[in-house]
Amino acid sequence: MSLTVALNTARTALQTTAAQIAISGRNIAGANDPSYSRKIALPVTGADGSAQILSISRASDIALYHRVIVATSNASSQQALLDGLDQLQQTVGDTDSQESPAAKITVLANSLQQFANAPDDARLGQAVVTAATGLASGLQRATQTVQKVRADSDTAIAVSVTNINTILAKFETLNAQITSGSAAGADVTSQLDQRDGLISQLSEELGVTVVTRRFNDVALYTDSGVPLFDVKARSVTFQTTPAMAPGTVGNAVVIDGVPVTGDTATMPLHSGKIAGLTQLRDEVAPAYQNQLDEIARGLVETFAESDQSGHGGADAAGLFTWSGGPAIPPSGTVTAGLAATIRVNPIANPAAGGSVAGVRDGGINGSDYVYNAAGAASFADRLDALATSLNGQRAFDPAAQIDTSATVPNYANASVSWLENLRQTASTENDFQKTFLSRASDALSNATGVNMDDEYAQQIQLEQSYAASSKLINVVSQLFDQLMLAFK
Amino acid sequence: MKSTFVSTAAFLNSSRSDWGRLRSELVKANVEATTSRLADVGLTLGARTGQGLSIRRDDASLAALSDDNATLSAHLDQSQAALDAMSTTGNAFLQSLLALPAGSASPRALQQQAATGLASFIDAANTAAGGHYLFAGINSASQPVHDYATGGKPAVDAAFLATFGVTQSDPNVANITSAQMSGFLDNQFAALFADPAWGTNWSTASNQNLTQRISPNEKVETSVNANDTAMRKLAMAYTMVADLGTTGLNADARNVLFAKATTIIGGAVSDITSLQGRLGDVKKRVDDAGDRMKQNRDLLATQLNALEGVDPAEAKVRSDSFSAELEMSYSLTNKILHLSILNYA
Repeated sequence: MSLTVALNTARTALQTTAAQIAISGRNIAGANDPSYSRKIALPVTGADGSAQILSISRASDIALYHRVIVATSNASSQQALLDGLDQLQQTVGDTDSQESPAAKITVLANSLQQFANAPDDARLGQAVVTAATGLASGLQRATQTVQKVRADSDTAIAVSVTNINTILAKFETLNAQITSGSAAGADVTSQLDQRDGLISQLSEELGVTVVTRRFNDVALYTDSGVPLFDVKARSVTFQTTPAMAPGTVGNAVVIDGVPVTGDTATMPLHSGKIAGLTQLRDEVAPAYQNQLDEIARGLVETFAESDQSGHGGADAAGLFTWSGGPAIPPSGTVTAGLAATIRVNPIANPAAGGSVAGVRDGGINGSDYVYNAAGAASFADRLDALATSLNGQRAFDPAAQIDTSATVPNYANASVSWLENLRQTASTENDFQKTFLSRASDALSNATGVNMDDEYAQQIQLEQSYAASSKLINVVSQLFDQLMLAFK
Repeated sequence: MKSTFVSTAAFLNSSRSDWGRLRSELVKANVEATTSRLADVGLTLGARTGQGLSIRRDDASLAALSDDNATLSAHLDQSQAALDAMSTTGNAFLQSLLALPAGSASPRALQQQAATGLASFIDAANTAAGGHYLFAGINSASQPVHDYATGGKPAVDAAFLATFGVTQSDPNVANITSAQMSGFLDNQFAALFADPAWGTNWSTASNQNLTQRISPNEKVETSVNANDTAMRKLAMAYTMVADLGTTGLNADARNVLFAKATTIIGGAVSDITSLQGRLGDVKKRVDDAGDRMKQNRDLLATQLNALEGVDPAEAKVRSDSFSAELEMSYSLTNKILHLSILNYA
């Protein structure tokens, strides 16, 4: 062992220690960055006793990382669904408010009963018409809210898809850098962190599966198996529907030519914001719209007039009519958009120039349909029949996902129960997913994050080691001087 | 090393992450303590929200029926008062007729009493409550019994003239025999008070009585109408004595007239009593229904409270405990933030 070797050793030790301090500095800088992972320098001792940094690796836990990605997607889809359901719930309100169609039907039924108990009191007749008007406009408003939720989901999906395309473009550049850097043996740990950050952002929009290959190359697939990125980014396209109406089906998101949402999808997305939004737009909101349409249809049927004169006229719309009136909508099936066009028949509405006598006596559709032939002022038979009919069993379309045979008031109640049930389930699920994500993120952070106190303590150690190496150089230098003196 | 490693980010977040949840729970508990009701009914009840709506619907229906029953009670009272008046006047007339020994004088006084009785009968039969005629059946918008002068009188005059050839004020009515009078009263005169003459000349009431729903399961007939036998008999008896030339008749014919009138008015008064009994029954049923409905409403209120209600004391305790948790979390976070090696290096 010569002095020169000792000098070399000290020199390399200085470089190594300096590099380690630099890495520690990077760690401290990234301590609060959630996508930063702790960098670890691996110093190695060479054959001649010199130290060098062989490589810089980063702390990672693949299993935990995948867990966090999955949890992010699930939390994101549940949140999107819950937000939509909260908006839909506005059409129903609290149980003691008069907002829901169910509560308004109660008001109508009671005013009808009171009118039947005193048919010659025109004010009670007006109360019936007012209640009916409130119910019709309530159904119309609810329809508008539902279609707005659908339209908003549609727009949000478009925004999501734009976001995905931006991320994939950045991903492509980064991935190319990483693979070429890894092949050349360069330090790509920062880019790896950046790429992981991009994958996290992507997992919010849709569920992703990550496959790592040679030279840190990564291929991305959706959680249903459609390729998102494989050396090159794949195309993700979506067309918004400008005018969302009852019965309109929204477009599907198409990835690499494969539709991943909607009925036609063979490989549909399971999680991510897009999954939640499409569930809202294509399943939940249309089912609720169907329920509103069925309530409207039940009302038109209940208050329909039938021919009293024996001339064989068809049943025609009475107090409630719609855009297809005076014909009655077909029974037992949904007529899309009926809840948007239902209104009080102007012939029975004093505000539109009509008269409430039409409710009591019939005859809204002409003299063939008059029930009160004698014109008696306290004729209660028609009103009693209407009250009974309102509480009569009807057939409803199973496409609305609640009862297929019920009375109109009970059907409206069932609709409220259905919506609140969905909301309750979504809320519980949302809480669970958020907690799960929070715990998984904490675990990942603990596995790959930086502890500043630990870094600082390490830095103190490195400081000492640096001082020792400098001292060694000083000592060797002094020894060299002494040697030279000997030759004078 | 990995299992005990805690990153700075996780360390600082450990207490902060719960604040959102604690705050929203605190708000919820406060709302429940002040309103004694669930803060978000739909979220807590889920599929059972419909039950709350059903209970409210049933309660509202009972409230509406109770209101209608109050109005009905008032109408029934009014009807009873009118029937009372008819009964009293009829009884007084009956007494007058009975007090009269056969063949005695003062037919003029009786005729006066009959005329007055007829007018008061028509008045009572036309009792109205705010434009709603109580004795008109379902034809409640039009006055049931016409004024005698314009309604029944022309037909009576025509029948009298046709049968006897003279008007009621003609002195020749003294020639009417008791047999003739008896025949007239049983045939032509009686026909004036039967259908269709009754409906044409006297009454526009409908034969169909009002029906009202007094409780969710009960529908009852709630009125009597002016076409009832009792009313026709009253009209007949009064008209008989008031307008068949009583003062001009000879004693025999007059006695026949009075005897017939006595029979008829007696029958009328007892029929009126049974009408009053019928209405009395209805009132009783209404009162009973009202009591039952009140009990039901109390039960429904209890059910609703069980479903949607919250004990405010329990909510306050919850609110206090969340408050304490939040404060503890704040103080721990403060301590954690101060734990740094830099303070000691």
